[in-house]
Amino acid sequence: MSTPALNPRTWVTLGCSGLLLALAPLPLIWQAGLLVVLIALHGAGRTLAPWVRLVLVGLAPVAVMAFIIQLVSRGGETVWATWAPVPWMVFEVTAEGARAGLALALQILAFGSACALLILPTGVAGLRYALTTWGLPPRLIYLLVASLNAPAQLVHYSRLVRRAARARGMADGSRGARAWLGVRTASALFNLLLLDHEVRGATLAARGIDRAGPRIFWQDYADSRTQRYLRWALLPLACLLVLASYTGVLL
Amino acid sequence: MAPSLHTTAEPSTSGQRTSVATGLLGKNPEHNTPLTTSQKVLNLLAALVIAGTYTWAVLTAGGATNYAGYLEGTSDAQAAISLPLMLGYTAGVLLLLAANLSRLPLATIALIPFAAAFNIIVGQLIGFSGIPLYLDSVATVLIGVLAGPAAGAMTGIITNLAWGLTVNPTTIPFAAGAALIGFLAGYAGRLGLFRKLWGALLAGLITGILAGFAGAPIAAFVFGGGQGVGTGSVVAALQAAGQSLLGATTLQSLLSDPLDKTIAFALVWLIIKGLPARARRQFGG
Amino acid sequence: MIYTRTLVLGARGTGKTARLQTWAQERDGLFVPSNPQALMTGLVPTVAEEIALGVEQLVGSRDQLHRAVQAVAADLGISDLLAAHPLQLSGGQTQLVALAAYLVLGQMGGSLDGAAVPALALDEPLLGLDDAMRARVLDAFARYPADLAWASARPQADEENLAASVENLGEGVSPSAGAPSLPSLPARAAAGVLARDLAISPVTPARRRWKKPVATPAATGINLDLTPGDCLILTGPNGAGKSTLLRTIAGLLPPVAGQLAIGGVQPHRQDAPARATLAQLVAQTPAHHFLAPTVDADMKLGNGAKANDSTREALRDAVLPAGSGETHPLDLLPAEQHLLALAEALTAGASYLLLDEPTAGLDAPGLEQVAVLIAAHCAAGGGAIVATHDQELTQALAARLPLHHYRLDARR
Repeated sequence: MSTPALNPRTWVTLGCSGLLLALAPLPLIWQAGLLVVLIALHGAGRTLAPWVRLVLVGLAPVAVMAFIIQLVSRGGETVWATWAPVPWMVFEVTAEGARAGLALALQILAFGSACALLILPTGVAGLRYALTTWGLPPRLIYLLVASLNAPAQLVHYSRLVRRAARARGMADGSRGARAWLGVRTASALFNLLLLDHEVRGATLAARGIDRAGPRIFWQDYADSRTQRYLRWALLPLACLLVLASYTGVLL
Repeated sequence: MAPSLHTTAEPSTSGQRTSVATGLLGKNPEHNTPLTTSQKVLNLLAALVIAGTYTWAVLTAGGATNYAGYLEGTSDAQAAISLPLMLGYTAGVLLLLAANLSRLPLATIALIPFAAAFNIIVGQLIGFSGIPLYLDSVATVLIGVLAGPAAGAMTGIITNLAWGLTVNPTTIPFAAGAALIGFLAGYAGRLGLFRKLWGALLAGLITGILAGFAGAPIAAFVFGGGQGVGTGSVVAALQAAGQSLLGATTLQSLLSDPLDKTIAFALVWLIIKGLPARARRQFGG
Repeated sequence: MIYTRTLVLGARGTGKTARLQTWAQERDGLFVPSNPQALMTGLVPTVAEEIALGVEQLVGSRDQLHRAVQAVAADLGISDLLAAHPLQLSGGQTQLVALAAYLVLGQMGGSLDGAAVPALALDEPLLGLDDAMRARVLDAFARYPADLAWASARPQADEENLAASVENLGEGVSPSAGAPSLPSLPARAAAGVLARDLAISPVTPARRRWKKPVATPAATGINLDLTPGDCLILTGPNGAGKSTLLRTIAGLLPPVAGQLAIGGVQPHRQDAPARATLAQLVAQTPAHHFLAPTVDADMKLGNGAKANDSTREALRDAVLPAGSGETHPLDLLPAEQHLLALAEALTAGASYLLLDEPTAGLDAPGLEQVAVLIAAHCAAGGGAIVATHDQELTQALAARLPLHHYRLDARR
């Protein structure tokens, strides 16, 4: 992983501003522009590949589905096609539906891309740095950061348990047997987690992970004055745009 | 040999090491410290904010009539709802975090990321498998029952945040609903509903209905009902039958959520039966 | 300034852990539990940062942080692991990283703002470490600038030399004092192990190409030739691939190159029950091994179901206190869990028993029981491969049956 050009705090600020704007009732062309900007940022952060995985693979189906729902069932004045399988249920393909659907689809994609800005370019360690330097409660930071890492940790645990189960010669030939083994290992996994958590809590306390205050990090994150100004300006700017969108000033 | 040392807590930031050791090595109880008044107020406020946001969304967008004005201006009803809705739910989540984070024992805090990871992995597997359920709240319910409503709510929130940031961003807006599930599961546990299977099933059903209502506005206004092909088709059909988008997603949620939560609660009842006594004792159970 | 070094010893169930906790409490120190896996916080992606976590607020500069972490890593011989992921380490390496995360406090000498470096009370800190590692850890203990105590079920001479004072908590309640009365085990299917120029790797090939390879190097050029009834002691430093070799022989990992056969067939090509009939691996951490909510139900899992009831009950009663059948396996004492996992492997009646550090944390009677069980298995015509650093186990086994030895060396 190459060090990102921007400070993690800048990325997180960019992501938060993006989130605000993604959910605001911007005109369609602004929405599209926002999405383009977010994608460009991912390009600049060299995170396009994971962005494709997270947003396109994960969210594109949702966006497409949302578009189709609005397209066929919202109704409106400019009707392109009608289909009524039963008298009380009328599917109408309308221009208004298409437009509403497009707005929703863009909103979903922009929302996902902004979320991805919080984490992809910075990485988990960068997120921890950003949140800590902002003085967020250490417990919240622990919960967030550890949860982002935990799936990998859990898979590691579960592999240990499943390995032991396989070593014991539990049948794993058929799909059904594997599913049953999965259930068995899942409950064993829970037992392990429940028995380990006191130890983990003890080590967190002993190593002062829930102590507030400044920390010195192993890794150095470059910062610059421009970025500092940018961080100060971004959120107010986003708020202004949101307000403008509500008052209908934007075209 | 200075026993008096253990009772002195040092609030200063320098020399914290000793106070940390004291907190750790004393009989660090697994029970939550009792709620202070301000925490009670914060919790109440959180509940009010979430409920208020929901009511506001329903009142603003409930009638199909509002949609007629969609093309007339940029600040149309539906698009204008998503941001205030998200801000309201986010505020509720932040209040819940503020009220409960410092109250939970650190050991419970250490458990929550793993519970969240479990939810994420199982939810992801079930999502891929094509089974029309979510089952992404099993660990939330378990933690709620074992460690109390506050821990349950935290698990729900963290699950959805971490899930959204790693695999599936659609889950983030549903964090408030997930908190509600963990909270209700915790109360069901306190009421002793998990002693009998039927009690767990009943609690699951009720939780599912409430969670369905809480999540519907998000499904409608943030995701347009499009989270799945199956559920999306139901939403499209309901909307074509004259329901508003919110009405359609609410009905759709009420079809799947109660069933899903009932099954999740039943699974947790099973898991609790198979726990080693040691694990249950940690939580004073 | 002279700091005390205290060794707490005692058999299973004598309350060593509780004693250490009190000891630490009396000195406002820290208690370090003996569960390295659970001491990994999951917060950070590298070993260096894992070690650094506890002193992030104590150091004055990033330079000082780097120096402190590098110093403690050098002391413990894990400098080459600093960039590795804390979850992709072998058992012994994890233990060392966990120790380093606490011992790094000793580097904070001048920068604690008047507060002293905390005393440390470590529960079984030497589990699963090879001789070189042990020596390094004990050396680091000697230099730690505060009081330090550690517990050991079966302390060895080097530990006793370091300890200025010894607290013996006694023999405890050894539930099965004396030799356990073992039933004569059913005869095992005769099979030999043949390995020619075998190369092994902990990473499953092909399908999972996107996964990063684990830090442990693969071993190559392994030659083994065991006949039924043989017992092989497998030694080698931490991370040399002992566990990987055992898992390869158990058929859980395919060989990377060369050939491997048990009783003439390749274990990794067999289905699960057949594989476990050839060789049964007992996991290093017994808690990972149990899948059922009671001891009796757990003993019936896998090939255990094929054993007859009397064998099963006799083996259970040989290692556990009377009336344990309905207990949850995880409610047993750690030492009992070790023995139960071994007894379950014997119940399953495989030709080969593959044991990974079977005596870690066991007291002297427990170690005797392990030796008795292994010997009984070999007497019934089975073979055993035991990966261990434990000299006492080797001696106890040598007193009962002829041993073969094989040493794996780390490829660095």
